[in-house]
Amino acid sequence: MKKKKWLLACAMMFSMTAHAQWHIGVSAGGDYNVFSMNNQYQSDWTSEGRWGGTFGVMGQYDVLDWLGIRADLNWTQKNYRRHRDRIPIDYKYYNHYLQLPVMASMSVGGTKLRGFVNLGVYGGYWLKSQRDGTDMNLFSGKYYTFSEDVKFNSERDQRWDCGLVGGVGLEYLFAPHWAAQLEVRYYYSLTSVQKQYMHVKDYRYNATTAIQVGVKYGF
Amino acid sequence: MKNKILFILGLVLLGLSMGSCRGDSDTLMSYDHKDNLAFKEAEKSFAGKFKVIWNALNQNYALWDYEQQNGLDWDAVYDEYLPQFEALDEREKVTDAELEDLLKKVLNPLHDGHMVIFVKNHLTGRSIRVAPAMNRNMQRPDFDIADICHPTLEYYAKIENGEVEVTSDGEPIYMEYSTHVDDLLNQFMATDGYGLRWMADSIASLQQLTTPTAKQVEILQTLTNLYNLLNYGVTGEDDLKLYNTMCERFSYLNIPGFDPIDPKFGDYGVDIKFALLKGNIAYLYFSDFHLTFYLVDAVRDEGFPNADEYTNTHMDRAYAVWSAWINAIQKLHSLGQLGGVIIDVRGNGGGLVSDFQFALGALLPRGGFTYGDVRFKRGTGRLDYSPLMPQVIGTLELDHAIITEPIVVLANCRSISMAEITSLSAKEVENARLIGKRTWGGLCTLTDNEEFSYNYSGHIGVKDQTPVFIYLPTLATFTRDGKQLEGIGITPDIDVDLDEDLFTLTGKDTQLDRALQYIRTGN
Repeated sequence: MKKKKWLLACAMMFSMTAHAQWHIGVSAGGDYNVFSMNNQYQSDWTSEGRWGGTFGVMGQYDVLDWLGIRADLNWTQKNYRRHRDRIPIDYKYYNHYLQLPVMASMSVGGTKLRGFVNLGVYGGYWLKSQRDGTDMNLFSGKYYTFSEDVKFNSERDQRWDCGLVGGVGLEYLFAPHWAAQLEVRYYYSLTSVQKQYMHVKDYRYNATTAIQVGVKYGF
Repeated sequence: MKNKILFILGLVLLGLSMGSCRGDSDTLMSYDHKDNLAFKEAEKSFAGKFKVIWNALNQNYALWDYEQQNGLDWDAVYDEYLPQFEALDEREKVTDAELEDLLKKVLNPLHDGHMVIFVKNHLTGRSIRVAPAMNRNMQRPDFDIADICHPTLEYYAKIENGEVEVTSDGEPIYMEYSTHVDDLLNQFMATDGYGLRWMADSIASLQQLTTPTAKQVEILQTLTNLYNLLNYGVTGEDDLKLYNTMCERFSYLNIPGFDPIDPKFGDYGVDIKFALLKGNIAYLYFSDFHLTFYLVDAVRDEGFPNADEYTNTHMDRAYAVWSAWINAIQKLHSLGQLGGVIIDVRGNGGGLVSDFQFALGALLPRGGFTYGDVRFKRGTGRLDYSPLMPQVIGTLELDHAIITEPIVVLANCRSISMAEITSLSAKEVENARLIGKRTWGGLCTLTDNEEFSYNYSGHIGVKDQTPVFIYLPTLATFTRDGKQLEGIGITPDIDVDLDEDLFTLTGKDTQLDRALQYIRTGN
């Protein structure tokens, strides 16, 4: 069944006629990341999504007037919070990624105002991780506030990230060659942030929704 | 337009087909209590027992990165030993020795200094005990002597040896008391005019009567039977039950010193010694970190809920020894006459964290002392840890002078747990030194499983109830400079061997002598 979906999708992608136009641009915005993992029997752990930032540059090559290939290079935060009820543990994670989404960009509409859909895949690299928050030392009975860089562990941490990306948005041509874009984009990671370094399988994923504005110039 | 929509739908379908590529985590069990499901396979299967050990440690043990640095591959252990445990399941007979041997191969590489594993051999019905730290420390050349030679002040308390200060009455300034069950029973058996010896004297006196009354004959017979029953040497828990039963039954005989002994002394007994050694050096030895039971009323009531007058008498006598030590220090310090302090934790297996304030902590400023950092498990993943948090241990909150005179902590191979925390702290105090031999290597703190859900780490199973029980610390301990010394121990500032022959023959203690030399000369 999966193979048939692949073939159908690929066939649909090749009915095209020639058209060429280059665009470059920048974008920036905020993103909301959701972290998911199996808490197992440690049931009072809760993962909560958190906001972060994203900015980057883009390039697009229009094959048709409604279809182009777009690639971004962006810095995106994938932040989240983990906390417990039983004792006051509250960790806020700040994760910085460099991402390269490559998407088919499809647009419909008029000359000035158009809607667009971006669909594709992305690859990324986990640049840095930090965490801050509170913990409790049960033996001393003292709360502890901390802020630290999380040292990467090459055995445990999966620095490379990849997944699916899709977005919808609006584009407004506000001047000859210049357009503004507003996009809601979703990154669905297919790579666990943790390598399967144990016999026990333990998958942990990010899923990030970005709301971003951008400006692009068409040559 | 239609083509565009079809094209977009095509891409969406492609995406959805890939969306199921995320993996599913395995489902894990919690092994902190008697969970019939978690331990089911382990009841009748050696492979099941191994899987419990491997998974429970994988989830609860706080030292995996440290073990990895020391060359341990826990996944490779699984691959190598699961087939061997499965092979045991194919057999009709597996001896305890075979099971123990295989368990040692799996567990001996682990460095935690407290960890002890109990595994029930379901074929024999007996429980196998494996203690990796004991197995490791037994290989040390200084293990046997540390095991045999318990600190004694017999030589130093004798005035003629010139090592002890004396009172104005010419008496040595020296006190000791032990509430260990064996020592309390020994008091009963071996004290002149007391207990068993009083009975022997009374029997001899009654036997000499030419015309005893019927009552005297009866008492003679009763005493003789009782004496014979108790004379073989009562020691240990079972003998204590017999002793207490006889004590209650024959209380009407009014035998001096034949008083009930609280069984709680089996758990919380302490042997404590104080001497003011020449040069006004205040020496304290205590065998266990149980002082809080004797010094804090609320804890005493909790630890000894059935305390009677006899129990309180023993506890007060132990308290008096500590009180003499701390009072001597404070008084001599205030007069500018204190030569130094020696805290002897040789052979001390540890105990309550709160005891720190009554030993080294009684010499330090109020407000606690940070001896290092700790880290807790914070998830089921092997490497899920909390940040390092300062480990602040309580110092004496009562008004007291901070001691600036030289302090020595004496330690050896059998100084474990809180004795090591005290040793580690001594190395962080400017006017303190650690003298003796490298300690055991068990610095990670423990709690009981009532608190498991606070940190989701600690003991595995329930002793004598689950087929696997692991006595396991809750956290990892680091020195102030970020080192882990688990399985290694604290290295003394001055390494000194104990001369066993000299100690055994004369009571002279080369380690104590070196401590005295350091305090008196600064060298």
